[in-house]
Amino acid sequence: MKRSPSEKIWLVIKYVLLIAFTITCLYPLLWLLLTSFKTNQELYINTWGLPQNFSFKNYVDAVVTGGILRYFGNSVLISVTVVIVTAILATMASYAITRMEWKLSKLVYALFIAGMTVPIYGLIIPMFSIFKRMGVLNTHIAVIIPQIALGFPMSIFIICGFMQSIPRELEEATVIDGCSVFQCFWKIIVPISRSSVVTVMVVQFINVWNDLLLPRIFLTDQSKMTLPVGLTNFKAQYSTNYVGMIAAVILTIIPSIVVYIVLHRQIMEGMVAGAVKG
Amino acid sequence: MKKTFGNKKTIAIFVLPALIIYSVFALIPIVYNVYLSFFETNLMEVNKFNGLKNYIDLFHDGTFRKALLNNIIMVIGSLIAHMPLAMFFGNAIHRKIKGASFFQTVFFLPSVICGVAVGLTWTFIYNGNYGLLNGLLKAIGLGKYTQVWLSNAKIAIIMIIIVVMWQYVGYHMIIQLAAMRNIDAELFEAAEIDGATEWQQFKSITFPLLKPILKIDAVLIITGSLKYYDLVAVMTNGGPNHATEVMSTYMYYQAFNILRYGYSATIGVVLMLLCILSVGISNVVFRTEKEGR
Amino acid sequence: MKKKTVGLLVALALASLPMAAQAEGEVLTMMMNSSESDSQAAGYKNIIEKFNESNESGVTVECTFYSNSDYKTALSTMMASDSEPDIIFTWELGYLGNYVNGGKIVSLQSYLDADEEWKNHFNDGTFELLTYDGEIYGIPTQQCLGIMYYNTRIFEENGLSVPTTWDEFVNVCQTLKDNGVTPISMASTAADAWLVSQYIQEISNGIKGYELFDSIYQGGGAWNDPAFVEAAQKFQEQVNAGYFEDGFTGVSGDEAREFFRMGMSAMYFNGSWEISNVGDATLSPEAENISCFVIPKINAEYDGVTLGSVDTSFAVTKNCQNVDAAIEFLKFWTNEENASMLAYDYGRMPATDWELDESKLTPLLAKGIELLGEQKNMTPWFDRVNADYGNEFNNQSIAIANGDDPQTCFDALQAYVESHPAE
Repeated sequence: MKRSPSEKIWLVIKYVLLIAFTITCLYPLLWLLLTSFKTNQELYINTWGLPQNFSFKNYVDAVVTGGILRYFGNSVLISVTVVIVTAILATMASYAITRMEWKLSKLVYALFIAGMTVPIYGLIIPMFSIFKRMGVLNTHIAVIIPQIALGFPMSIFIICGFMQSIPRELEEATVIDGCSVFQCFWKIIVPISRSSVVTVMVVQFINVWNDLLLPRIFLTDQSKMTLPVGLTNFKAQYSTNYVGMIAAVILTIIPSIVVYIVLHRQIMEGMVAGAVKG
Repeated sequence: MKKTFGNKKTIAIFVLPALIIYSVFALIPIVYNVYLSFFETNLMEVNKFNGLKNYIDLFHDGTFRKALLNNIIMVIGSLIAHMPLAMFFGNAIHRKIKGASFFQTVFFLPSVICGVAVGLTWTFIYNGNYGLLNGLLKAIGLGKYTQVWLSNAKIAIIMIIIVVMWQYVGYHMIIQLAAMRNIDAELFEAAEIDGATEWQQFKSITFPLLKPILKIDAVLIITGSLKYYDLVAVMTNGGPNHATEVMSTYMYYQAFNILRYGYSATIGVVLMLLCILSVGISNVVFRTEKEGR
Repeated sequence: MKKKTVGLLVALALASLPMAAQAEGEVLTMMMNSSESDSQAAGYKNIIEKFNESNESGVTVECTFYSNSDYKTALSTMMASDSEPDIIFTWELGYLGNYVNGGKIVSLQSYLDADEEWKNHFNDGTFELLTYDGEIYGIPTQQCLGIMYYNTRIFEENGLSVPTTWDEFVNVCQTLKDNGVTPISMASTAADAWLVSQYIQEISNGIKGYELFDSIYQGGGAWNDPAFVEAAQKFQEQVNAGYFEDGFTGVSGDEAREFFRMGMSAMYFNGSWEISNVGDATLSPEAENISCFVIPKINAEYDGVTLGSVDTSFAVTKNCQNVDAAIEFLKFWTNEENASMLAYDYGRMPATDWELDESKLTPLLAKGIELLGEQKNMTPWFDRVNADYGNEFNNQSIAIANGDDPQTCFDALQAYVESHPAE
């Protein structure tokens, strides 16, 4: 298909903007990568240049002294558990709220949504008391449960928003064919809602992965801490080992990027396959 | 039909697991927080019922008003970056451009990097002596505008908001792009045969079909900006002299630094009310549009 | 699917169970403000290990280390929900005062009285900062002082000697400036607000002496006292004269230290806790050339009134079931062997009067200890006296560094204090 001159100009503009933004996204990463080879002195004296020599000392520091791999494992355990549990329970609850007929559904929905408006910082003290009573302080459960609980509002909001748009005839036909509600849920609703569930999982993953607050309050053992907390180990009382911290950041970004690149194909394929045609 | 979808046991199986976890670990703390907001308390010896005094104090608190204003600027900035801009990029990528999946991945990257690293990088970019931004200004002959960006009380919050805007463009783009990919490609093909320009296609096909997800996105952006904490804490921690204070940092400061838990809870409650208000407004906008269609 | 979820949660619960039954014998819990990146953390760990190995009564101490930024949050959360550990790191004055008033802390008065020898080893005036209603609630282990580090090489090259009067100090700055050397590197980003305020506080000590500090500390004084305003004006004069590094309002603490360590500035204002950092030869090519002095007072009569306090103090909480064991541990921590180990190896100035072997001290630390001995009256940081007012003081100091009018700033501070009366 031939393009008109105005379309060509438009295309150029689009590319210019896309590439400009690409640079702003990649440059900080490149800077972090280069800085990870510098010494703390070079960081201030030769901030933007190439490192004087490519020493892996900071990476050794990050892994050996900083123990970053252990923190990474903890972060993976916590975020994966939270993401999976939240997605499953939120999808189920959303299904009941939007597709089933009961009087309190609107109230329950409102209760869930109310949680979206609360900053987590306000809930630390009461949560701490509850976990103390449960005896789960300093276990990963103390971090996982509040993340799940506070993940529901946003997840249910997104999934309900999507499920409301699914035509009711679809399930009614299935039920007439003799399927149970559960079958209907798994075979019809879940596949159709896949894109919203994936969105929820991505949003939730980022929240949990970057959270600094809950682990540092509910956990005390260094061996149980998560990555963002691990990064604060590079902070001394009056100084910070920035280059060590940056090396640790690089180590943690790489797997996230790989996971994202691998997953995003599947995510997109899943979304296209599950799309509501028309 | 009603029987199948109205079976109480089935409903309970679906909704109770989430509801129970949520009630115990979110609702109870929320209620407790509201309760605390009527007290002057450090959760130890001082525990005085205060009525509405905290709320009245808050109303007169200059720092809180500044924090609120900063949050509102952040809402506006985020709405601009995460709606039109993200939509523009999303649409560009959606229209089968070369390197689509490359752009998509790269744009998403900043939101995966933890706040500590993002804050650190941008602190160096904004540095007064050798920061990239000042270097850039000098290079294009605007040397007189160079300054110590994060120490200037007048603009520090704007500089932080710019980073927030930058960081999450890709994140919202992905949400919107996912919805765009759900639109039937035949619609665009038909429009193209009819000779519709790209802008016309966007206006008459993409945008209307995107509205439901945009509503959701708007709520995420507004509540997210009102509750925002991370980069402010990392880059300036609310300073210089409260210039970059936002409600969350102020709330955190009141509770954990000076042990005014009651007052801190009050900020939390006000923040909650503001968020509810914004969700309400989004819903109203949504409804009128539905009727108008 | 739900079964799976429940299974997962149960599995997680089980995985975390063995934890509880880990320790045998009696365990004292402790929390410490220090991170892996503080070199002295290794010294602290060493003390705890030695205690756990040598202790006959079978009591062991389990210590959790928190970084500075997390410590206050973690401790206040625990205090609010009654789960604080047995022994806590604490700051003096207002910080510990909150918890003493909250009925959370054990008075150590009787334990100190029972062991006069131990008590007498602490330097004069150190207990005062941890005394509430006439009883001592905390054990100080270190002392600190606001000092000006300087580079002897740069001073010599410019024909300068250590200033002994305020005018000489200003002259030193001016000469360096004229010779194209950055006189002082100091951090003053929002996160380093306390560095600027401590500089103003130190100047104010030389204007009105201890009386000024005391009037705020004991109550009755005003923040817009002319002495504070004058101190801030002196500071601003120095800022305008270019005595601080370019763009210093955007320079972070780490950056300022790096400038000084690399010999790019002649002086560096900070606290004595920095001795081990600036004097570290592996990090600083100038390490051998670094010494320190106390900023001379504007009124010579106030010589000896200097910014300083106790540091790294410990308190025992009411949660502690075995206070005797906790006391035993604190005695161990402050004994000659451990106090001198922290001084020799980690540059920590002890709050106890053990005879130190000069040959094992770095010259810089020896100088710091000498300066400490010369001071008659220490004025602690205001944010340690009262976190709320002190933080506002820090905030106003930053505004002053950025050029705001000192009188207006201190009036605003006074207005804030009046509208937020302390209980």
